[in-house]
Amino acid sequence: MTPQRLLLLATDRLSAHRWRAGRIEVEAEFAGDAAGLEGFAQYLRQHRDSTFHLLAVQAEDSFQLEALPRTRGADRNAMLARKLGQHGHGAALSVALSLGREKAGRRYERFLLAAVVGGQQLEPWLLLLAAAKIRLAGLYTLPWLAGSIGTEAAGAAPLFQLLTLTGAGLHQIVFENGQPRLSRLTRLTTGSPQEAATAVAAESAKIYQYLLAQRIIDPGAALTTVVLLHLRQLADYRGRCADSDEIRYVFTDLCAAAKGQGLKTLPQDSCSEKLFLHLMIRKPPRAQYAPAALRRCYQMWRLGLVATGAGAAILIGSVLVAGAQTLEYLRLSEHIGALRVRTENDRQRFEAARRRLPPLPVDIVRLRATVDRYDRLARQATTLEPMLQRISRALDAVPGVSVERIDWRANDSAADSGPGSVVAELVARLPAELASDPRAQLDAIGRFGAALRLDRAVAVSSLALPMEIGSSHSLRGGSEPDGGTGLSPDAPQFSLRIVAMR
Amino acid sequence: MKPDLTFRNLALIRGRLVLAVTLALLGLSLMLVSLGLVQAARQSHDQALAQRQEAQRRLAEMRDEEQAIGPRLARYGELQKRGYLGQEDRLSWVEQIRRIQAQRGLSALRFELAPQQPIDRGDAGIELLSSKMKLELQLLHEEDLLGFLADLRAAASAYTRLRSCRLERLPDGDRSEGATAQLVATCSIDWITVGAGK
Repeated sequence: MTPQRLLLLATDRLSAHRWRAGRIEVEAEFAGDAAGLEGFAQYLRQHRDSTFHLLAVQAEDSFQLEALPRTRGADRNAMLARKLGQHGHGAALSVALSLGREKAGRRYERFLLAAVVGGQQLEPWLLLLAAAKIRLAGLYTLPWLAGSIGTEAAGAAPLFQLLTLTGAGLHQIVFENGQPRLSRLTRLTTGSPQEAATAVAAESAKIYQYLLAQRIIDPGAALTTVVLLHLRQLADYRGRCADSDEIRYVFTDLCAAAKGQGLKTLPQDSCSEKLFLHLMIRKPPRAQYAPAALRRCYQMWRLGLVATGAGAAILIGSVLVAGAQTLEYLRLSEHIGALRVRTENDRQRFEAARRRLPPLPVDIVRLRATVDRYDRLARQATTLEPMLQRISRALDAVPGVSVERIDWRANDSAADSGPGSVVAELVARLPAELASDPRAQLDAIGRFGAALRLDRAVAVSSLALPMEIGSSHSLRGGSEPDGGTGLSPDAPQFSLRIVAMR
Repeated sequence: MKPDLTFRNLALIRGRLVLAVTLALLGLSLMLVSLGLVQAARQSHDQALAQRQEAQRRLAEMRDEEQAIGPRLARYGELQKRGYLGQEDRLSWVEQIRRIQAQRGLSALRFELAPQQPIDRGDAGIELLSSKMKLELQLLHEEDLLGFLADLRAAASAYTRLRSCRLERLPDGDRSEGATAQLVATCSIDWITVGAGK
């Protein structure tokens, strides 16, 4: 954890504090003379490894609300620089805080422009800070830090003022809608509780009159006035600060507020520097005044932290992934080992089984494939006998038919082991005495085919008949010796196709 | 406000940048090495699994084989004895045909054997080879053809597969004087042997 150091600039003195877990210890004090500045430079050199936060309580801030056209990039920067120059009259310490876009009209972007009045008092210290090249997180003033404390104490009031004491005097800060609107510093002569209480009453009334004149507050409306004080001094304040129609006081316990913010080194009087020093670390505000050159080392240090963090995150993520992968690798290795052992066991059993086999003429795989292939061929084998037997039975059934020719062929199916079929084309003749009797011819052929079909695995179709009587064929006749039927006087011939599944 | 990332500014944190890059590189290297190891292990695992499955398959086959090897071995010996395996022996085939012709008393027989052709490539690199024979013979009766083919199946030193047969009556004019043949048969027969394969 990087050491945190707090610098408090009040009037002509600067005090340096060490912050550690909510405790604040004073380390050194430096006057605004040459010796003090030299001591401060040396102090900075000794603590180059720390992150510094600077609170300037002697300064007053000026604030101005502006609505500006929405721009981006360089145009926006140039416009804001011009506006800040106009607002702060060339003040080096200024800042523009965006408050968002207007909800109506031209929807301009609203800015709160702020500048440190009398910033030249800070210059000797800032020059030393710049020369020391230390990490300066920011330069703050009370209005930016006190907002949260005041808002909490003022409740729902949109407009209120907060009064608090520091070594520089009495600070009066007006807040409107949570943003600082006005800041004043009243120097005190003795700083006694009685003087402070009197000043609170007087300055509150002045602020009220100013707000009334500026029409910031309506006539007759009461202004909530939050006073941060030590409870020991409450009686002094109550005696001098009575509520009126214009001003309603809210006395807030400084110690309770400090405790609420986690500060462990509680204030001993009504001076609130420690609380605001603590808030620079606990609740750093959005706006601060240190120019970019002063914060260069701090910004780069943060960038370095981000880069280192990113590198570490990548390393951690990678280590986690690598860890998961290593577990997976170990699991796989274990499984591989087990698989190899089982494979080796199977191989040994295979070899043992192989040794038990009788001597083989060829490799066992080839032997098996050869025998199986031949057996498949044998199952597909076809012979001529079944077809000749069918035809013979048909010839017995229809006497007088004589076979002229048989064309037999085996049709293999596409599938290797499928049944396939055999086909026979038969050419035969009918008895010559039927030559003049077409009806008897067709009857004989029909009986012949029916005899073949007795085998259910057989399909019979005619290829040619002695006479085609179908309506799709032409039929001739006359008074010639054949009786005009167109039939040959010789024995009539016919042809059949016989298909049998194997 | 964003920091101005000039070389001058970056030089302020070069130590941290070097550290960040080193950490990131170290982490990425670790991750890559572990991923590589796991990828290699997965490949080895797949390989070991495949070897295991192959060993299991071979062992299962071997166990089946132990049961069936006796009949198969006998069948293989029979095929080998018949001359179904290895180079075809055409001279022996011709002699077998002549012997059957003489035993059957067939008067006229002609044949033509075509060059050998592969017909099938089966398992384990075995290859079936076929020589197609066109056979023509004159017969007294169709029983002569059936007997001839049966004798051929029984005696041939190759597996014979009948593909087609035409059986027709001889016209009276085609019969030679004194001959008794009534029929002529024209058949196509495949002579199948097992080649050496590749």
